[in-house]
Amino acid sequence: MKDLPVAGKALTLLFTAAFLVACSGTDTQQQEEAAAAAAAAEAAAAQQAREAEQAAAREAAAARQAAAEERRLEQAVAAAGSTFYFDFDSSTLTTEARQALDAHIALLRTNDEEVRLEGHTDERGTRDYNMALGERRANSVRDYMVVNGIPSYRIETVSYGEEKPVAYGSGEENWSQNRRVELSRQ
Amino acid sequence: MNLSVLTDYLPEWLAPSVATFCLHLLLLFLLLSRWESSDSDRVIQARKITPEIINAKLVSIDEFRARPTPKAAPRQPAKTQPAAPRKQAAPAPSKPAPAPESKPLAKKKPAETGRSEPAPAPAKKPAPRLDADALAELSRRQLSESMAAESAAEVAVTAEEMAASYAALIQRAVIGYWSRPPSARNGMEVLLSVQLIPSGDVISVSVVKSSGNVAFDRSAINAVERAGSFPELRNLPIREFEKSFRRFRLLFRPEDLRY
Amino acid sequence: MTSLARILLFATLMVSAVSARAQLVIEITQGMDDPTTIAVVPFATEGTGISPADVAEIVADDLRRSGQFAPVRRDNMLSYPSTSGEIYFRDWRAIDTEYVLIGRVTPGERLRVDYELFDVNRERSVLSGSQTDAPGEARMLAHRVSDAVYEHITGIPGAFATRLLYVSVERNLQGKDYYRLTLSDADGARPIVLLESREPIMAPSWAPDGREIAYVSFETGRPAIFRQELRSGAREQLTSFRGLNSSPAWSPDGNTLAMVLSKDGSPDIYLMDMASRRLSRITRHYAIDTEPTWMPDGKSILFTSDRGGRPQIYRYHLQTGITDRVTFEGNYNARARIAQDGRNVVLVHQRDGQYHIAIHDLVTDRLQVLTSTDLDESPSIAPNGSMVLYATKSGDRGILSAVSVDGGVKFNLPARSGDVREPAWSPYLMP
Repeated sequence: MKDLPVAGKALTLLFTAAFLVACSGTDTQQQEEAAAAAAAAEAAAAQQAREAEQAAAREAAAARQAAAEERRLEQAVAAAGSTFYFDFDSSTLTTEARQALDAHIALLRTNDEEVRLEGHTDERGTRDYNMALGERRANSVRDYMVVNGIPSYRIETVSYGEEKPVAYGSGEENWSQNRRVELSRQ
Repeated sequence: MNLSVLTDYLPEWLAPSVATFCLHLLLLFLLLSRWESSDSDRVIQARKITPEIINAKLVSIDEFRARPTPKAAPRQPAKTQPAAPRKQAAPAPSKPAPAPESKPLAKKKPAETGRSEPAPAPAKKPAPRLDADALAELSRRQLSESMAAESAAEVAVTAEEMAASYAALIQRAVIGYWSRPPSARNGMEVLLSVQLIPSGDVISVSVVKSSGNVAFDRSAINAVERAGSFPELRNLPIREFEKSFRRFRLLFRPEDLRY
Repeated sequence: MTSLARILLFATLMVSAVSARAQLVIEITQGMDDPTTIAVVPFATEGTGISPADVAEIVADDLRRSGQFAPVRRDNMLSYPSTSGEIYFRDWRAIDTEYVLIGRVTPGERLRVDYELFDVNRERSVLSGSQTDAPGEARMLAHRVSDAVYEHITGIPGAFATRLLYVSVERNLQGKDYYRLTLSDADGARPIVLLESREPIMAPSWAPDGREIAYVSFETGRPAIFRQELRSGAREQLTSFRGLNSSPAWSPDGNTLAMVLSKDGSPDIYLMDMASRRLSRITRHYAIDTEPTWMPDGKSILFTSDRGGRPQIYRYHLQTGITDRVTFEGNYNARARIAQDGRNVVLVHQRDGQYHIAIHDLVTDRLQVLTSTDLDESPSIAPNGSMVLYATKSGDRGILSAVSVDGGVKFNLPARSGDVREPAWSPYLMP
């Protein structure tokens, strides 16, 4: 709608010019040229208005698309989960972990949110060594994110070692649940 | 002082001769008396003993001397054969024959069974009767001599073994009562002197050479005091007791501690 | 003396000397190590007051838990003497008692305990003494009597009048965890909560004077090292670096606190001078370096490092800056603690997939597993080097357990509700 004043101005000018030409008298070619010019200007103005409309529509469509994309990314992140698991005594990211992280990274690239990574281990071994192991796991996740475009100042890492298990008790079913890094968005 | 006055009145050569004579006497005494090892004490090692007396009554010396009986056994089959055909003749002469023979033998070995006595006599019976008495006398003398030699040797071996067995007994008893303090270490050593009386009771324990660790020394003394007595030693002949066990030493040197 | 007399005397002496040298010597190279039987007779109460504690029961329990003593049961005692004149040694010998401890308690504004120890075999008094303190410290008084008796008989100072720090975790009905830093007597009695938090508490550690402690708390959202004075309860946060802030360990002279920080990339050992609060870094390796502990002479520090691939114990020499490896047996050796003798190191050792407490001898380089339980961790040695306290699991619960340094005696500390972990045995404490 903001194109309208321009179109209005053009039309006003054209009609004024046409009127002046018509009122001046006897030269019909000049009248015809003026009429043609006025018609061309009118067409151009209409064209511009149409283009503006199209651009607006395109932008709206783009915005809608972006929103849809964000929803898709959020859904991907939700599907991937915020917990990444590790093998015993290892801080190497598994393929599943990397795939899950990819979803997070994709979303994080679209905003400037900060994340907190919490590293954990299972109960086996000494507590202080496990604090260091938990930090290694959190750092693994952080490093992968940094390599994939998330600046490190947006990432905070904290290790809890074996102090905050989600599964109590011994045995691999419990231990495998505790060897993890938890991501939380701030 | 008196001696110096006396020597003035005696010939010059007397004092040195007396001294020489005494020295020779001393030398003879030292050579003839029984010695164990010349320098070191008799040390009983834990590992080397195979004790024969374990919580059992000690067999008496007499039973040790009765060992020669197996030697008489081979003669017994000979005894039965001549005895059978000579049923009538045998009982008569065999009676007086064993009788004079058994007497001198009996003097030496009262606990001996009667089996060995008639054996030499009937064995000689197939031989000409003329030599029966002479032969009997010969064999008796031979037997008694060999027996005496054997028993003398056996008494010597037995006494050594017995001392070792009793030492092992004492060792085992003390081990059972020795509780080491936490500060004890392998290689620490304390040497105790122990005094017994023939009943086996401990009448004194004292430290001869300390380990330097009071608690360690005390634990050794406590072990002996808690053992208190070794009643089996009552069965030891008094000579052996006096020689080895009236006064002896215990060396505590642990080897089984963690370090 | 004339020459003749001299010769005869010499000869006599020679003979008697030689026959003396022929004495039998029996060698004793092993023992049974039966516990020493001791009768701790119930102490009599003097005066009109009531004794605030059963001193004899505390002493008997202390001695029994050490594994070196077998106290006589009260119902087996033929009499309850409280003065030397009332002791009939024959009665005690009849039940094979080696020592008798008697005593008297005098309640009042100050509580006083008199005690006397008798050797039954020698039938005489071998130790006597007296302890005085506020009535509220009656249990500590009794523990000091235990220390005196233990030291007299074994030659080693007792560690009964000491205290413990530990962390306990309890879950409330809503499923939220509560962490408590607790101080108790060495036998587990008189627990006092020093700190309660909704976030984890770790690594309690004693200063050598027994007056302050250090620990790790997550109360700020990140691990940080705190120090706390016991008497006043005053606290101070010492660190707040990014990354790890863990494993505080006081030097033997109390002037330096070793700790683990990862602010410079990987977990490394740092030393904080307590006067200036200045930090110096002593390990520079991209591997994990953690769990520092000081040797008693203060000249080197043992720590855990996986620079060789798996966790092992290493030793850093402060003067030379040289680091050498200490443990070579097995794939996992961590969390070393060293006894006052500077020789015995207790640590966590993994064998056949199980985690045990083991003891490594720095002189012989031999390692010996002490426990048969699994998932053992956090060993702490008594100040007299005789016992090791550690955390383990019983079913799904965390409990504290104790084992003697020779592996002979084992017992569990009284179970509390919730999980108990990370025990720290105090140094010898001044009354």
